[in-house]
Amino acid sequence: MRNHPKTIAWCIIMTLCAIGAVANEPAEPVDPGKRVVVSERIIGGDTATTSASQPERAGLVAVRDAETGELRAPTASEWQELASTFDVLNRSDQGLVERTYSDGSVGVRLEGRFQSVSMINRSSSASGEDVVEATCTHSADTVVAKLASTEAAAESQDDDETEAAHDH
Amino acid sequence: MITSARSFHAAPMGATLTAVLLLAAVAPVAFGAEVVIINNDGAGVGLNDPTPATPVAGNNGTTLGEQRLNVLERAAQIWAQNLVSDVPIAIQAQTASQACTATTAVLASAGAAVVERDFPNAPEAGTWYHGALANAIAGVDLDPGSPDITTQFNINLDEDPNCLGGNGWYYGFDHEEGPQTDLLAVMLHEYGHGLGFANFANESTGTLFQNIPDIYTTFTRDLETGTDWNDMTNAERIASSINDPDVVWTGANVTAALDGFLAPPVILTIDAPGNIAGAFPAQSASFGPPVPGGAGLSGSVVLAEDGVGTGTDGCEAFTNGAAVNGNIALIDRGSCSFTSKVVNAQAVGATAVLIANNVATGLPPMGGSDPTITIPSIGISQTEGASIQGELPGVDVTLEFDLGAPLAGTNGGFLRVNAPNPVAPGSSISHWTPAATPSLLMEPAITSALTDDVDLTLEHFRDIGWTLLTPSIFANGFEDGDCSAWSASNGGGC
Repeated sequence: MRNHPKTIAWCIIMTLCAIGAVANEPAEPVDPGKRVVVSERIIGGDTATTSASQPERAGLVAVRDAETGELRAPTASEWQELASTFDVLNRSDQGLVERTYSDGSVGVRLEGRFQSVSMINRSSSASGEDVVEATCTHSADTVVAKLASTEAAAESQDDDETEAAHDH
Repeated sequence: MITSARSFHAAPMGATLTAVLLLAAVAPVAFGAEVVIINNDGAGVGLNDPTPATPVAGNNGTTLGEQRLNVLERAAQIWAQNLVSDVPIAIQAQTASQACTATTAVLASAGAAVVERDFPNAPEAGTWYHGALANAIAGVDLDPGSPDITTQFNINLDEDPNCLGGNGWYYGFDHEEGPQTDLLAVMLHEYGHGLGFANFANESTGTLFQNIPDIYTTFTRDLETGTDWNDMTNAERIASSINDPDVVWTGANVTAALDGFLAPPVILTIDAPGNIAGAFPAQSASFGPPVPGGAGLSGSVVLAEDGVGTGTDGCEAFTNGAAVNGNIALIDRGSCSFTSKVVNAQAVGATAVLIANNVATGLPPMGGSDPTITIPSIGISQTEGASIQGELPGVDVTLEFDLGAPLAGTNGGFLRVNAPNPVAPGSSISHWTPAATPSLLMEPAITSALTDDVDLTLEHFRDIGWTLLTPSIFANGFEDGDCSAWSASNGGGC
């Protein structure tokens, strides 16, 4: 059962130090008449791998529990939600595999990194207008900041709502 | 042409894609490219969710899974009708559980799955290209074991009742999403990034991907320093990434097409009385028709009165409807949505609406969506609103474009890219400026005004090397992108 994000404030402290995270992949089968891989190298020279359950990032990630106000390690389900976002926003080339082909061309599979992410915020302004802000970002920091700010606002404005969400 | 592989689940990518492509048919004439949607969801969930659903606005799917997949296909179809490629464009799609609160959510993500450089026919040597574009130029699938674009969207909008109020995704094709979230507009935008509208630079460190330029940075220039991004040091790129409004797109096709897409800024001209006459900045609305071109729209101003609370906020039915009928309504900002105010004015026969700001600086943002609105509206400053109120009755105004001003969102004849200071992490550079009018698909803010129109993104794609079904503005006598020849005949600006 996934813990709903309303149960926590997404107060995230991150040191985004990407580590090599791409499993070595075999070269593509040679297709006569097409490009042939003549060399492969792991960018950054780090051949470390990570388990599938961990995000491809290193550093400290903590969440602040809205109920206790204390920092704690994210639960597995919280990791799952955050990691799925952080992975796509990773803009490091470290650990990716660069393939050089017989015709001199070069290709790199981005392994799900360098994605853009659309976010939305629905709220009411102080003037009473319905405010819907849908933005596109490539930054994990932006995602964290938006989630943290809206959670903090929700806490201060409506404790009852937050409490109700704890049961989700 | 769109080909979906609905039965393929989370199988190893190489095997999946190979199998999908074997099933692909020859592209019909109506499409310049074939797009393959690779359904990466497991059985019974996400894109395969068997929950019955009622067809909605052009989406004839009868299950949630079908409707979701239909939207992904529709977005792909729009691009496929414009782009030319002999190599199928493979989009690997899936749903995912992503962060969501009552008011904020991650909606979706997408991007290129692979980058290529120095491939056969590459226009620019030593330059990274997005995989789908590289394949199109090379005429061969350079990495047949990989999709070209990967995308996922947040399933919690549908499955978590506390996510954004439980309103869920909108799967219709008409962009009339109401309180829901329009998946089609989001996916059109996100596919755009995957097809080429994104750089691979890191704006935080100033570094290029592998210290090698990409085709997007090739057309990015800082007008203040006169330096292209590929010629900058890392420190210069960091500085340039926040140098709004001086960071621009220099591609010849976008530059040549600006006149056909962008409008000059909207202004409010006070015609009478003379003591407050003049032209003043105004904010166009994201809803309703635009201000008419040419002579604009003129009329006498009448202050709205609704008799409840702040009687001039226009949030309830007008009590002076007869006076407003046939005139331009002046309404104070606050207490309800912009669209509600305009709907109330329209109901009594107003020809247009001025919404005066309720704070001392800036203009009302004039956001919102309501397809029933048929009259134009603009936001004006608190100062101008007070000036007009002080002279009523007897104030005549014109809503019009400032034809002598540069097109909104341009600088030096070029379209600006988003480079706000302080930095907006992640939104910088790989989007158009939000100052462009009307709103463009690849602005950082995905507005409710967006439709199926992919606007200037097409000319952007032509700049970076895509072949389009539509002819280039340079087609008559000049080669595509022949900037120098075009400039010679058009007095520069290219």
